[in-house]
Amino acid sequence: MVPTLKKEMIDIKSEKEKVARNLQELEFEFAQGNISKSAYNSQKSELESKLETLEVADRVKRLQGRGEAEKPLEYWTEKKEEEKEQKAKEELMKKYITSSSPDHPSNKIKRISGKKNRAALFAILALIFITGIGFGIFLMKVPGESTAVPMTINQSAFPTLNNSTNITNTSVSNTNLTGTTSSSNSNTGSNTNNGGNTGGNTGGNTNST
Amino acid sequence: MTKYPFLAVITLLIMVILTSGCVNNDTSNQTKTYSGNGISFTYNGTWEIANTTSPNAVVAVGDPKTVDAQKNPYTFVLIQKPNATQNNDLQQTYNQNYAKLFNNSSNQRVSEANITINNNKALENVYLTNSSGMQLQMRAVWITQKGIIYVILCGTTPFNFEKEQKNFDLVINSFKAQ
Repeated sequence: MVPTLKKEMIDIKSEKEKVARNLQELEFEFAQGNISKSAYNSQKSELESKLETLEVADRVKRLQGRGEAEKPLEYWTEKKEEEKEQKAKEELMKKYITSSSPDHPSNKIKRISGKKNRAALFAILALIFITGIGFGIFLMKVPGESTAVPMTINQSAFPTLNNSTNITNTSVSNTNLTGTTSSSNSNTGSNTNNGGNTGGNTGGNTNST
Repeated sequence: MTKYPFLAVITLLIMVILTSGCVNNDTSNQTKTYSGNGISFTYNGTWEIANTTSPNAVVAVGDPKTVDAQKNPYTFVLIQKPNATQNNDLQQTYNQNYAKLFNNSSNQRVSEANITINNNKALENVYLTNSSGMQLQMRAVWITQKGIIYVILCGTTPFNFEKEQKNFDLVINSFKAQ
């Protein structure tokens, strides 16, 4: 294990030196004007990044245990990349995903507004129900209610006859009849008288006769 | 829709209420049947049997919605039996009745007709009359059934007269002496 570590540390060191040399060469080339600024910048950042990775790996190997230090350079490069990705992910999480804890103020507002909405909906539902029942009672015929209305009809297809008047007429006619009778009687009397007269006349006649 | 379940429930409830209201409100097609005093007939389901003080009345039905302060309905059907005349002749009884009725100036003749009800000859007289300061239009149908003369007197205001014909016809066409 120890020889492997030493070998790897040597590898890292030589690699670091190689990268540092490449960086110097790049700067020299750029100073000479052999490469463009954009190419210089991209290559420089690439080499610097590589150098930084190598330094990190070297430091880790020195400080941490042997087991971890034994891992190849690719592992550390990948680890660093993973850490970066993890950090980016966390930042994104912080940015866009709100806390789901019930004590979060936004959640409280949501809960309150949800309760209000539900209460309003229940109120509307109750109002519709009461209105519906009211309309139903108003529109539908309740049998007991209509039978409770007492009605009286006093119209007639026949001509109205005033009985009391008839009775009066009858009594009047009876009176008349009585009067007639009495007058007839008096007439009779007069007739008698007449007759008397007649008789008188007759008598007179008779007398005269 | 799944996002707003309450909205769906409310919509459904409104639809049920409105539909049931429409179905139950249609009471005009419901009818009742009267059977008694030797006669039977069908009348509007919203009408009720009424008391009557009319002479020789058999039965009366009226629309409770048209009852006035004195509890007299102005839309009604009254069935009466005229006093027997010589030979119990329908035409003669009818003629004698209206000869007297139209002597009163508060009664105005509108029309007269010979009609047939269920293959029975009948006489119809439509006239206007004043009753307690209110003008009513009467349709009197005189019919003989089982040897007895019946008068089916249908009355309402002149304004409602045409509208009430279907209720009057319901009684007239279903009238039977038992």
